[in-house]
Amino acid sequence: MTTQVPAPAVVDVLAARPVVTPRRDALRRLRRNRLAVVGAIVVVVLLAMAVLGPALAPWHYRVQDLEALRANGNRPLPPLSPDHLLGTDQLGRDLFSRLLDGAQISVTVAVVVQVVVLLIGVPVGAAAGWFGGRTDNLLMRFTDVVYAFPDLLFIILLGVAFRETAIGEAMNGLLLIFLAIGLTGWVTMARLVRGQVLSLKESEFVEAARAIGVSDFRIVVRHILPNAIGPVIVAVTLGIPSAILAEATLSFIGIGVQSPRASWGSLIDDGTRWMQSEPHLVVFPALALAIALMSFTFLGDGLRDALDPKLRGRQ
Amino acid sequence: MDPVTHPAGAAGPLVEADGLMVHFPILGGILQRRRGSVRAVDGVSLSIQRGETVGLVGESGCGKSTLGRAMIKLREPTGGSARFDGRDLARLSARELRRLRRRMQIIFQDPYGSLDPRMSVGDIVAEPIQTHRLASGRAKHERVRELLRLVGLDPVFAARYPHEFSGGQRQRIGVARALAVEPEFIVCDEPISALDVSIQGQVLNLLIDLRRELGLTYLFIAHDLAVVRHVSDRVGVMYLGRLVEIGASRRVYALPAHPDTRALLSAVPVADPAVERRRRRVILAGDVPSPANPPPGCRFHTRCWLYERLGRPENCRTVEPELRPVGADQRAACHYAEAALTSDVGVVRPADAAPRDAH
Amino acid sequence: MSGDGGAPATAAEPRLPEAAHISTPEGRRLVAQIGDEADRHGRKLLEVRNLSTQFFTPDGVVHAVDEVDFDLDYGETLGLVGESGCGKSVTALSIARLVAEPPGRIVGGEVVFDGIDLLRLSSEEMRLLRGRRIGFVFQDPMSSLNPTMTVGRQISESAAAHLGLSRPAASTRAADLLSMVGIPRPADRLGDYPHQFSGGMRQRVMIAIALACDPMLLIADEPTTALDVTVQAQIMELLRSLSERLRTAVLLITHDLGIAAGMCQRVCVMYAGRIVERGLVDDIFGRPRMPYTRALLDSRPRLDVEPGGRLRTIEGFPPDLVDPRPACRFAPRCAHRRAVCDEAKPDLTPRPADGEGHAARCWGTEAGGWIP
Repeated sequence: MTTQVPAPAVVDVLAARPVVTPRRDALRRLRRNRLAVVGAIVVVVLLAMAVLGPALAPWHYRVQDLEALRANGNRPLPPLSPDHLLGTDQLGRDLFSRLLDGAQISVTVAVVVQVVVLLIGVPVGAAAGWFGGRTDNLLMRFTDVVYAFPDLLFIILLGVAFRETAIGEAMNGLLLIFLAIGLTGWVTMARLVRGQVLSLKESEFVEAARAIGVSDFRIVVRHILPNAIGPVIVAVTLGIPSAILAEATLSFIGIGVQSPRASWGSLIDDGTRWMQSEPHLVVFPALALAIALMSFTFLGDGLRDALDPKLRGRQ
Repeated sequence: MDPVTHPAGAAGPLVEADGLMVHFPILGGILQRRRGSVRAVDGVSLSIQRGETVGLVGESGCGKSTLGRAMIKLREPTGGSARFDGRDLARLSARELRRLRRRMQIIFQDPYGSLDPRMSVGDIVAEPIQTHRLASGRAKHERVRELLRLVGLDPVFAARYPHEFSGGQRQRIGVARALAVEPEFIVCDEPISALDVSIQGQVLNLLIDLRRELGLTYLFIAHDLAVVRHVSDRVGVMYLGRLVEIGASRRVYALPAHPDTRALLSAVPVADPAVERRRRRVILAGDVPSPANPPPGCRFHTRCWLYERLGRPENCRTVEPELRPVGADQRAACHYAEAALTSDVGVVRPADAAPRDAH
Repeated sequence: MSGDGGAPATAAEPRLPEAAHISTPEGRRLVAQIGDEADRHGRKLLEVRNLSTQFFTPDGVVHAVDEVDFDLDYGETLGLVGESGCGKSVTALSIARLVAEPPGRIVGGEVVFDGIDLLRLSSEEMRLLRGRRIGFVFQDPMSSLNPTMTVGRQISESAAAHLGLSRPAASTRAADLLSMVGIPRPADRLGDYPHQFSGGMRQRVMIAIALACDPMLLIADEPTTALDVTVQAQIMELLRSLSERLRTAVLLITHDLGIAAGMCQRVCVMYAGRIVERGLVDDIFGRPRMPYTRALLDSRPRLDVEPGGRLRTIEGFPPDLVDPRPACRFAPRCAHRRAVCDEAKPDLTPRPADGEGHAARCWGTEAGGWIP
């Protein structure tokens, strides 16, 4: 009844499966996170709006539609007016076009600030973590000092001090904002990278590389940096909303973007003056800001889960 | 011939530690001043002959892993010397040391932490080949395939990443990486203790087969005394940074001369209920003291059953015992090794052997 | 501080006060029903019947525990032995209804504890029962203890909640318990925090907490895996003597066959979510009737056997429990496999010739089978 079969053959399930690289694995898990996918889509739309903004905008952000304004009794046009989807401000400028310009500013702020953060934070953190000892002590005490300094105060001081100079006026005051936010923001990145490098330096695979005789330089390039990049990506993504928010705050309190350019923060600031009668002037920029912030946060949270090495290969 | 990468062919031991010490500083305060030190390895002398396997056992914190790493200079010794094939590792330049790494390798305990998660298996195994420029291009790939086959993995897995493998398979990848440079000496640091029971035997057999086929020399570190006996020609027992007993495996397991060895042996559970019921255990009191502040005299005396049995002799508290010969190819660091030898504590005999009372 | 209640530090064998009070009517009903010795009628303390627990993951349904079936008598120590992922821990968590839900769910079976089916209790009733009647000791004492609470508080909290002891009384009891688990100067140590204890001492504290309410069942999940071998021997000795003295039944979950051999009266061997063999400890180790048990025993070097030659290993690795094969799950790794092993599921059937209560799940050792 029973027939003899040859010696135990372990069916190798692995051979049948496609190769899963760490990147593909992370993408797969990111795709399963619905909020993160929505966030990613909105982020892409936002980027497209920023790049194509001027081309998409029905009006130039500084052009006043005085005719329509006059026809409306010199009051801001309400949303859904002919030619002005979201209405106009009190000067007759198209709100939708100004929002698109604001998107460009927000995205530029986000990108440039994060570049500044990366350029300072990563080398400082990596050097502190890798060399350790005195270098570490020195660099970290310096970051502590920067960290302890009140961000907003620093940015405002910088803004006030350099407002009249060439830097202050460059790009309608934008450059100064980028610098100010970046100069306070790199500290967290430096700490993160230092922690990553410290723990990776002690990891057994780095010890294995050392045992093989791999040079320090190659250990950093081949083993440490590729493994530290995940949390850095997450930090950058999650840092973007705070940079956007910081810009909006600065513009709202009047030291940020100078008129006639429009950032979401300065639009909200302008709008508050008409809030009682024309709430759309506050509501739309605030909505744009909120959606952008949430999207980056959802995407960042999703990336964090997707890149977590502890969860790799699961779910 | 390159004097670093080629064997001198001398008859001396392949690996040798002489009074080796590794102390880790304990830093404290805002200024990170040194407050004391953890004496992880505190003056150990040990030599390993070519082709020999020396086992190293002891409880956690006894310094066995640190000693293994210091012997191949993965940890910087703070005292004493480590020699490989007659050369003092401390005297080599960084470059020479990197080249010497071709001849000495290590296999780690944790099959998850010891492989770079962002590199494919092929790249992991190829890294040592590239580093020492042993082969390139097609020859390199062929060598990687050969190594994977050697450790019992299908070469088609070279394109895959570590997270796709089970613990036992990852451990095989780690073995392949260590073998890629054709080393003579391998430190096996708890190579099977993170694996499942049914997988442990597979990896242990693999290591034993490779030793025979490739003529390897092992320092085999493990806390499992039965596993160590199975692979080792000689075995050393460590306690709080010191070697307390060393000798031929056969001898140490049959006639342990140090109370710690006997205590360890008596604590190992045996998978036979009849043996377990009949065994006499010495239950050591308390835990291992901190290696930052080891007890004076014999470090083991605070937990020693023999010390209690002999009425707490004073020299155990005041004089640190030296490692001294207690039999053919056996040395122990105990003032009362002779008394330990005649006790029957800790020696495990098969269930069918008649219980013997040796007092 | 509750730490200095003036407890006698040298209480050699503290009497454990019985339940005096419980806060809710359900609780009172439960406690009244459970533990009444006159009402046992020859039943077992714990009867696990066809227990199945599954985990619902994006990759599929993991059949972690598959129709597990065993008894545990009053005061008995039963070993649940197997490799990681075999379902032994999930079985224990299912018994105490501690399986994280979602993703896990107990999908079938009964867990009859002293006559009551635990799977039908409300979560509130279950909470009262846990700690009061079932104590737990986990593998990692550091993560099971609250680092911000003194051990005295952690022990007396349980005693106070379940037994309704006053604060001084609970504190005295905490000191008694610490002394019972062999912690020197117990009254002085009540005010200490977990990090001030060593690994072995922490596990003793965990045992003290688990025994705080004099439970009828102690579930110990790999209680010594994180410890050194000499400390492991201490903890095992402690568990053995306490279970004898307090007549507490112990469900001991371990991957170490040696520990099971030394601690248990009976053993269940699990593989891939199923019990594959169970019986008295001497029969399981002396006359295993399932090739997996035999192979596990043979695959490790042993101190009581002279070393020599190759180890006989089990090739391959345990199966994925997402949609596992219905037939014998060990068959792909089994040296005795025949066609039937891949075709039909073997049942856990008695092997009366090989010991009382001995049962194995193997076609080859059934009556008329081909394995000697």
